[in-house]
Amino acid sequence: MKYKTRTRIAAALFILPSFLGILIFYIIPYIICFLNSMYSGGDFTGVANYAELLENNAFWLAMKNTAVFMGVGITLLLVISFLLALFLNSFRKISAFFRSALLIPVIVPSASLICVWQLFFEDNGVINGILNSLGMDSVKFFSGGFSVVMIIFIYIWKNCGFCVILFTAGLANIPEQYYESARLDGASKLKTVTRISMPLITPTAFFAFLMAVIYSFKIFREVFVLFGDYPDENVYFLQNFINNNFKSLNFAHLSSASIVFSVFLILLLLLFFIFERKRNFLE
Amino acid sequence: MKRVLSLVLAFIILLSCLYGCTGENAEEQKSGEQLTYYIYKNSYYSLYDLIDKYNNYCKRNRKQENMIEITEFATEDEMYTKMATEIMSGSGQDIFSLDQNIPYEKLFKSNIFADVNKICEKDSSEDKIDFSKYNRAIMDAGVIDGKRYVVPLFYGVNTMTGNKELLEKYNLPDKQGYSLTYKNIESDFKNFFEKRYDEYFTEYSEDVSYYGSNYDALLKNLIDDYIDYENKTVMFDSDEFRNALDMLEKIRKCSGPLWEEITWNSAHYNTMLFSSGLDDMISMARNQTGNEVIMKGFTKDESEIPAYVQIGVAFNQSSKKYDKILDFLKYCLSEDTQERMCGIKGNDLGSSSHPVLNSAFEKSIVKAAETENIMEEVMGVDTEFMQAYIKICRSINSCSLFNNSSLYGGSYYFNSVAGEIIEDYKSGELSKDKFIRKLTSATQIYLYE
Repeated sequence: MKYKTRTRIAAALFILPSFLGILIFYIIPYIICFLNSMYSGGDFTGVANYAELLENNAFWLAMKNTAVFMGVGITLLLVISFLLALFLNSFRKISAFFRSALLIPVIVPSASLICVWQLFFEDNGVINGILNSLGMDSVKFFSGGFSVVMIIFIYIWKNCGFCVILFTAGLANIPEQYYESARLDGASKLKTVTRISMPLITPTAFFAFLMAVIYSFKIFREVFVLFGDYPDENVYFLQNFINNNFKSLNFAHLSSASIVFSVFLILLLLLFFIFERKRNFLE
Repeated sequence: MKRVLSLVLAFIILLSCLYGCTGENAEEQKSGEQLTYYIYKNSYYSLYDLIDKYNNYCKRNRKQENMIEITEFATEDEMYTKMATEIMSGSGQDIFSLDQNIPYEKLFKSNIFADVNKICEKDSSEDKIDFSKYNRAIMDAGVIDGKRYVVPLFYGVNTMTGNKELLEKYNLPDKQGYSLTYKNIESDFKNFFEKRYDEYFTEYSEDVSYYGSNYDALLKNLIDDYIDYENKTVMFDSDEFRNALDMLEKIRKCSGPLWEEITWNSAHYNTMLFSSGLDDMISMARNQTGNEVIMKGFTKDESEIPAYVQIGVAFNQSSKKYDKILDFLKYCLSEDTQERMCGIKGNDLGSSSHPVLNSAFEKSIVKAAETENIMEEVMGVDTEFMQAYIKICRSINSCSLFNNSSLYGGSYYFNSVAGEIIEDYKSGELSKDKFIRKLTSATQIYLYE
């Protein structure tokens, strides 16, 4: 057997376990989900489920809320994390304790987190107690429009540390000579950040964006613990829609909503991949 | 190499698609098996007793193959997860009872349940089920979009039994067959609510008891009346609903604790203006003392005479065991079972109900006429109270598939969507406005999902 063929077989065998795992747990279920979305109660309906879904008010409400949350939450998370990373990068050395402390919110269980947040932000919580003692009215943090603000706050608080660590590592990888040249040329700090740090940190930013998108799905845990199956309409996300349709055994809606959402995400990530490839300054 | 790998991958995907699409082999295997019914540990489903009796009937008549297999799960969550995944794959339990906590209103549109009319059409035997022999208003509750998805077996009527002496004492309406609408109560009982008396309006307790309190049932029925499931709209923000909510709050403040022992007729003990009525003719006759007033209630409209299905059954669309389904249905709708359930032939089925079979209902009136009451007198059915009650039962013009007054029953909407919001409102955690806002939001999302 030729050396090349043997190498290729060996490579294929090494990839096979992971490939089989992805096939069995991701690709095949995705295809089955797609096929389920074309059926309703055992009868083939074609794209009728999708047409019904696109006319469904609850689905559009969920999509709108999810898009708003992802748009605002991810943007704020990346901006705040980057700014914090820039600040921390100005120090010569960040202690190990501080690095660990940044990761504590990520590892805290959601249920415990919510207990503490409720203690602080409930109608009769600590914050409202302080506001009342100062003669101010209570704020309904977990109802109405404020509920989505709180969810974004929880999301940023929980995931900021991890993104800061990513950005710090990314900033540390930028060669010092670029900054020296900029200093010698008289560039301001703002110009240094916008013309050197930001472009060169694109791969890290892309990875941080990917992680932020993944973490944005996980916020469903906090939303569910705080508000239950049927929350206020401002915090009714696509995951609530899918979860409730699973509980009410409506697999047509469940499957079609999952496929629509996955297509939306694939397109979004594809766009970002293309953008990242074209604007990779490190290469 | 790449070509070989891609061919192998394509073949595996094709194989899994073909396997996923077909379920015929699984269905063919099931046709020879028993009907299945799911319960969980410590659950109480009203159909369970009936299935138990049916299994004994099958054993006695050497029809073991028709017996129903009852599968018990450790927890409710486990049962529903299994149900969900099985239904998704085109299988699942064959028999559903209405008090299982699944969203029937949504599932009717998802083709999960079998059309019983079509199953009955396949029956060529002499004892074919004739639905015209059964109470039409009740049976029509199970017909959705022209298809009979649910077969009601026994039902109850929404009535309240009043204490005649107390009603007269406080100059309140005491006419037999009076309609307790939300508007009537607000105007007619205003003085009673404003003054504090020793007596209570009806039963209420913050603790959840075996039967639940009348106030809970009234609140749920009020909410149900203001949801239009057909057009997916809610009317909670209307002045009418708000006023009715205020009225119910007054009722709650004037209502008293539940008795420790389960007694149906609190009116007999002269402490309650109203208690909920029993649901079989013979028990009503047995417990009358001459001090009772029967009223229709509570409703939005005076002309409405509502009932609810106490025990109802639906069948899985993917179940092909038509013979067994027919046999079970015939047993449930048979004269013998219907008469035993309403007490004509003793009551060993564990609950009191009106039978859907018209002839059994008429026989229950005859039996009630010769029943002794608790004072060992035969008051019969010619009393104003019994005549008004019989008239209400014969005039039912609307029927709900769910018994919202039962602790173990009620619709999926009240158990899983609005339940927590209602509890928070009752406990005072939510103000009226916040309650209406949250309820509107949750209900609209539920209706549209």
